Amino acid sequence: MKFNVLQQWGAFSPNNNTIHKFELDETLTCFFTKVSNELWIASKKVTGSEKKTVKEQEDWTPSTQRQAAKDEIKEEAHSQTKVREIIDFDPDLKWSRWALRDEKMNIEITPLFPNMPVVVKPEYQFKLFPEGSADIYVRIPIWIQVKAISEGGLKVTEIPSMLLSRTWFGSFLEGELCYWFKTTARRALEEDIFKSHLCVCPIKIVNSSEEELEIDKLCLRTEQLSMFKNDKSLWSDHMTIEYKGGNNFSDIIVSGTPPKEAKNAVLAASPRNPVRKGFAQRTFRLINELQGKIG
Amino acid sequence: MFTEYLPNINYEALIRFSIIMTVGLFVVVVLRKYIRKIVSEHYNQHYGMLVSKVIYYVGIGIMTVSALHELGFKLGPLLGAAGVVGIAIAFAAQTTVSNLLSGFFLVAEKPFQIGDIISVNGNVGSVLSIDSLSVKVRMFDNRFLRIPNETLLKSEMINVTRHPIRRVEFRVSVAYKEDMDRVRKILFEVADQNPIALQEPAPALIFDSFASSSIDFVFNVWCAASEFLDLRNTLYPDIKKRFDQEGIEIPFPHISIYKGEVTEPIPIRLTGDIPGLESSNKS
Repeated sequence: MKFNVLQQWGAFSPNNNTIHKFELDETLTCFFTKVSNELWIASKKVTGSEKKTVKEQEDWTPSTQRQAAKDEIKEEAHSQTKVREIIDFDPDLKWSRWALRDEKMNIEITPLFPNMPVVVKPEYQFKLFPEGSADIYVRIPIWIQVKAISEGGLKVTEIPSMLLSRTWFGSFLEGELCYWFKTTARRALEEDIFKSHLCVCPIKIVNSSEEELEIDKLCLRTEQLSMFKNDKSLWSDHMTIEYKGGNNFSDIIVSGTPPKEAKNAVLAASPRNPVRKGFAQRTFRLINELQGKIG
Repeated sequence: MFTEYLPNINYEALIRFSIIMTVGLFVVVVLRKYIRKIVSEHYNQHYGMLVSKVIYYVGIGIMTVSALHELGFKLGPLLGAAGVVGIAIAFAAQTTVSNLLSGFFLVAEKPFQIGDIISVNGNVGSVLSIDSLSVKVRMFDNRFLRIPNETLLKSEMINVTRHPIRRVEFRVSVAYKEDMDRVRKILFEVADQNPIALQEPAPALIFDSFASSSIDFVFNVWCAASEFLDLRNTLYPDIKKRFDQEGIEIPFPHISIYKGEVTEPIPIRLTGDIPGLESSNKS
């Protein structure tokens, strides 16, 4: 059994004798291999003490990668020995299997936003004066989408990079389930903001009301955002959120293009659920009923 | 006497009768299925089923009247007789009529829909259908429950899945020696780390009582209504595991004997043969 580290997003062809590994920082490791016409996928959320448990680091050295790359693709029969090798590689991994139509696989891994809106809560609250505005950067954990290009771009699976908590955005009678993520809501781009499992979302918040806006949390409809990538990081469209006060809906303008901070970025993922450029949504947390009746 | 309603029966009329009944039945069944699918997709299953029933019964009625007309029946006297017979039947079938009328009220009030989980008189299950006379429920042990509409209208009914989120109550007891603030902090951390527990509405810890052997709390945590059982089955083990890690005692009923207000409990050692005490209990 050979091992291969996938260095970047994009397409690759799984081999019968190779387990391909794709890492996102130290939060998630995905494994791909092929048994006959089956694509085997496993993932492992790596945290703290588990960092070295996957496989000793020497198995993933560049020389091993080169060796794996040089090996000719020898299509082996689906044998119990091969399966046993995969399972023995890391008994903790839970493999999922997809039987594809064609044995010659071409698989693509791309970043993607989560499948539900994300409520981001700044670690420290900040307030916006009437007629004021602020640019902030929040980061959203991404998902990995696995597609079979050889099967006409058919989606195989999606793997979250982090297990996110969930929250309810709305009243007791109606609302929507969202993911919940705490953010530092930075005002400036610093080098440590860039992580491979987090997408940077530049947001301009405009307070058009005559009241003070306390930004306690924001509900980002990530399914309506595109994702772009450059050599530094993953980026969302630039969003402008205009708060109009009271229980009015906020106007959200999504640029549909890479933000000015990443002009050379290319499209990595289209929106899951594209909408028109300007749309009105509830974004800020103003559900008094929910806050008043807990207990 | 009966023959006066059947003046012109012949083979041609019988053929027309058969064609109307066959084609009519086919059209009604197909139309019912099609409309039910459309309405269910655009609105909900409940409306789909109601509309399909209306279409079916009205269709069958029109078809029967038309077919009988082809046979030469004079429908005026027949309908008049049907009215008289209907009143007689209504007296004889009061329960059925009551259920029928209750069914209309249930449909109008719409306290639940197909697929909702309801609890009636202690029976909990998922609504399969809302019919003219009764509501059919699949209980969680897969038994079939039929609730007459009249009973349902008269009883207290809880719709468990009507609202999208639900609060789960966890009863937690800790020993008197434990620091309540620390217990509070740990419980909130446990809820924070459970992916099923919602961050908002935020969990709430409510002091319940100083019980005989423990300090009792009620820990309220919210989840999606459909994940009620999942939360119950994961958060209790999470709490136990974390309490074990943190050395927080979950007490069992016990009695401490003191010789004064501030002394240590008096150790007790049982010796000798005590009638009724098993040897395994000796220490």
